[in-house]
Amino acid sequence: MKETTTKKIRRVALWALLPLFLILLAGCGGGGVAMGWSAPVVEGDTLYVASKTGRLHTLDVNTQQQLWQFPLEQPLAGIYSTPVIGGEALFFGSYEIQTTAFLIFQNQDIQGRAYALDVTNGQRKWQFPMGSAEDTEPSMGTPALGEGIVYFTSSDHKVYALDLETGSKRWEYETGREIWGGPAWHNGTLYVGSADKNLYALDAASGQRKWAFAAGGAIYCTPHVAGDTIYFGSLDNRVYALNAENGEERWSFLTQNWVWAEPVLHEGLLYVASLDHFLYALDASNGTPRWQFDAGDMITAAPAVIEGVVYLTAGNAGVYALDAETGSQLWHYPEEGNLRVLSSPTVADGLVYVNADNGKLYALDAAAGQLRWELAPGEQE
Amino acid sequence: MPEITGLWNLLIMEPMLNLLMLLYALLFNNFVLAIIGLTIVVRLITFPLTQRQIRSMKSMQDLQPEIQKLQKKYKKDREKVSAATMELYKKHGVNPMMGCLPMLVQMPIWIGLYQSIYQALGSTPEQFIGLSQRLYHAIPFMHDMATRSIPLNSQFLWLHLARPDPFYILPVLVVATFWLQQKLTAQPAADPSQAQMTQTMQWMMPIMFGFITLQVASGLAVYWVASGVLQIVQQGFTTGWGDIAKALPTGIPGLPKREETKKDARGKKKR
Repeated sequence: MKETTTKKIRRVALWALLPLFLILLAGCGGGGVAMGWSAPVVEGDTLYVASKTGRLHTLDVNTQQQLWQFPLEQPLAGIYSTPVIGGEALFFGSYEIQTTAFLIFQNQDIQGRAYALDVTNGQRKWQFPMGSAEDTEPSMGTPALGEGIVYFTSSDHKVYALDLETGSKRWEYETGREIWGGPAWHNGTLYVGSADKNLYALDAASGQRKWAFAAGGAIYCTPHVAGDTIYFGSLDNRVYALNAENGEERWSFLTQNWVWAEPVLHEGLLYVASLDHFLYALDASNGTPRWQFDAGDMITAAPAVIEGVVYLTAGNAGVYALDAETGSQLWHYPEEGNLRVLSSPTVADGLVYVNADNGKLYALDAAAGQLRWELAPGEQE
Repeated sequence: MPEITGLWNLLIMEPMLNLLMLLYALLFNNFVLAIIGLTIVVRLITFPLTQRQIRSMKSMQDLQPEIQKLQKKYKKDREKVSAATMELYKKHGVNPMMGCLPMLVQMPIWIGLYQSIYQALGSTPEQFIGLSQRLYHAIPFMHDMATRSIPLNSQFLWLHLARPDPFYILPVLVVATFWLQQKLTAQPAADPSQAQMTQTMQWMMPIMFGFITLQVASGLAVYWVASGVLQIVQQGFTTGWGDIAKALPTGIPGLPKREETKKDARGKKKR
C-alpha cells in the first residue's frame, strides 16, 4: 500500500514538474516582452509619455494629473516611437500584437500603424496601416514633419509620406530591409537609414531618390542633419558624416560596438552614443575625438544637450549629467542601485524627465540630479 | 547571482552564439542551416558522452530480466533487492550513474544552445539590441562576419523563425520526433505501474513539447527537430531500432526491419 502511494506521488510530481521545467526552458531566452523606448515630450504645460503597458498618457506637468490617454480600450503592445507634435495633432507609430485564437491554438502577429491624435483630447484623427490593411508591420521610428506631410518609417521596409490632415498616402519608398529609425526632414529632402545598410536621400515632395550611401553595416539610427552635413551611426560600429547635398563621405569615426542612437550636434561638437558603453564628443568638422565618457552600460538613446550640459541615459546605469565641454560628470541618478532606461531623456523647465523600463516616469532636478517626483503613468489616480 | 549569470554567458552562451553567427555567414546566410549546423557541432563535441550514456542505458535495459528475477526472489526485502541489483551491475561492469551523469553534463550545453538561438533571433527590439553585448566585436574576423550578416534573414519558406509556425507543421514534427525518441529510449518496466508510467511518458513528453512549440519562436522548434533526429539516428545505430521497427511494420525506407535489428542479428550470429 505504501509503495503504491509513493508511486502515485511520483507520477503526480512528474506531471506537475515537467510542464514547470518546460516553461522554465521557454523562459531561458531572457524574456520576450516588448515594452518600447519612446522618450517623454514636453509641450507647454503638457507632458506626453508612452507607458510600458502600451498607452500614451498626457499629464499636466505642474499637478502630474492625467489629462487623457490613448487608447482608452485595449492597449497597444508597445510604443517605441517618440510622439511628434505639429499644430493641433500628435503623431506616433505603434507596435501591436494581434492574437488570433482557434480552440487551443493561438497565433500572434506583430503589426503597426501610424496614428494622428487630437492633442487637446486624445481623439483619433486618423490612422494608417503600414503595409496592407490585413498584414501590417510595426512603426518604431519617431516620425518627421515636413511641409503639409508627416513621414513614417516601418518594419515593412518602407518610408511613407502621409497627408498631415487626412493621413492619405502621398507616396511611399521601399528599401531592401526593415527601417527602425525615424526619418529626418531638412530643406525639402528626407533622409532615412535602412537595415539594408544604405542611407537614402529622397525628395520630400515626390519620394524620388536623390542619392544613396552604402555604409558597412545595417542602419537602425535616426539621421541627424545640421547645415550641409548629415550624421548617422551604423551597426559596423561607425558614425558617418556625409555631405547632405550629394552623399559624399566627409569623415567617419570607429567605436567598439554598434552606434544605435541618433548623434546630436551642439556648438561644434557631435555627441555620439555607442553600445560600447561610451559617449564620444567629436569635433563635428573632422571627427576628431575631444573626450569620451564611460557610462558603464550600453547607450541606446540620443543624449539631450542643453545649456552646456549633456544629459545621458545608459542601459542599467540610469541617468548622467556631464559637462558638455569637458565630459566631466556633474551628477548621476540613482546614486545607488540600478535604473534601466533605453529611451532618451527630455529636459524642460529645470527638470529632466526619464521614461524608465520599470514603468515609471522620473522627474529629476536638472541642476543636481535629485528626484523631484516619480509616477507610473496611468496609475497615479 | 549576477556573477553566475555573467560567467554562464561568458563560457557557454556567448561562444555558442558567436559560432551560430559564424555558421550563418558560412552557410549561405540561412538561419535554418546554421541551427542544424550548430546542433551537429554540439552533438559531435558531446558524442563520447552521449555514446556512453546510450550504451549504459542499453546495458541496464538488457539486465532487466535478471533484475525482475531478483525482485521476485526477495519480494519483501527491498534492501536485499537493491544490494543484489548493485551486485549484478558490478558483475556486468555497469555503472548506473552513467545513465544520467552524461545527461547532467550535457544539460548546460543544451540550455546554452537554446539560449543562443533565442538571442540571435531577437524576437523583440529589446532583445535585438541585447545581441550587441554578446558578439565578439574585439575579434576583427568575427566582427566583420557579424556586420555582414546582421540583420539575420529569419524568413525560411513559410516560417518567420522568431515567431511561432502559423501553419502548425513544426509542432507536428516536434511531437513526431519526440515520440520516436521516447520509443527508442523506453526501457521495459518490471511492474505494471512502472510500465504504465513509461507509457504515459511516451506520450506526455512529445505532447508537452508540441504545445510549447505552438508558443515559441519556430527557430527553436527547428533545433528540437534537428536535435531529435540526430539523437534518434545515434541511438538507432548504437543500440538498434527496437520499438520503432515494431511500431512501423512496413518499415521506412532505409530503416532496418524488425528481424534485422542488431539484437536479432546478434542472436543469429550466436546460433
